[in-house]
Amino acid sequence: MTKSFEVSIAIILLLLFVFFLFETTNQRYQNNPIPEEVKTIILFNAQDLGFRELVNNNDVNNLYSLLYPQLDYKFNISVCDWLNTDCQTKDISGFTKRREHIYYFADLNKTLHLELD
Amino acid sequence: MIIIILISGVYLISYSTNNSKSNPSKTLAKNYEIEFLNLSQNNPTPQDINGLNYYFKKFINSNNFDSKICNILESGEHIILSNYTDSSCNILINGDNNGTLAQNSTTTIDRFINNTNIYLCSCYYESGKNIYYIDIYNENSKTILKN
Repeated sequence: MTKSFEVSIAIILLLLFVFFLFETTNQRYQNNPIPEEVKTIILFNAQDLGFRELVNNNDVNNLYSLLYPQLDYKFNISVCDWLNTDCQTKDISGFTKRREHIYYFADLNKTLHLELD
Repeated sequence: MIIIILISGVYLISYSTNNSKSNPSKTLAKNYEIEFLNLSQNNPTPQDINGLNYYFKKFINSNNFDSKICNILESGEHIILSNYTDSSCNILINGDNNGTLAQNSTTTIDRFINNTNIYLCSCYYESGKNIYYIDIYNENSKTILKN
């Protein structure tokens, strides 16, 4: 009697463990938000006049080089005239975009798209 | 069994911590704050402020949020008033009603030394300060930034 009770508790806990593992992995894969540190880095850089000049010139190569040492993620970068129109994108081989953070530069009327895998 | 319980606990804690950190409306509001302060340092025209609010509202909408924005700022001999709160606002100067500013519009008033108490919806003018108020919201998240 006691043994069968212990076995049933063990099975329930095992099933709960598998369920939590599945849910967490699934949730992270489907709706993985942009990390706060990435947003903070973009907000910080957006206040820099040199950074804004690079955005104004659609200089995605130098923007990428500038952000590379600051971001601990594999990322790509695009500058668009307005949201997704007329975009300049850094060409990175083997990069799959899964998440995107967009910053709007009002005086330039351009958007900076930071894409994470 | 103890290991399974411990790992489940750690997963649950990290899951709830990650979910509570994300607030997209706060990031949008900070984006607006930086752009408004950047623009207001360069002696903006009413058209500049109107353009900022018009395009920013569209940008916020593209992120599945709604917004209410108002501004009061000094520019040369004028004070710029902008109302993007989705409803008309009374312009109150020293307690007197000086007309109504229609929704999604920007206007100017003359800058007098005694114009010290100006209210426009959620914006309250302070001399020497560029005032902004932004409320970004949807059914899941809400952020208000003002100065």
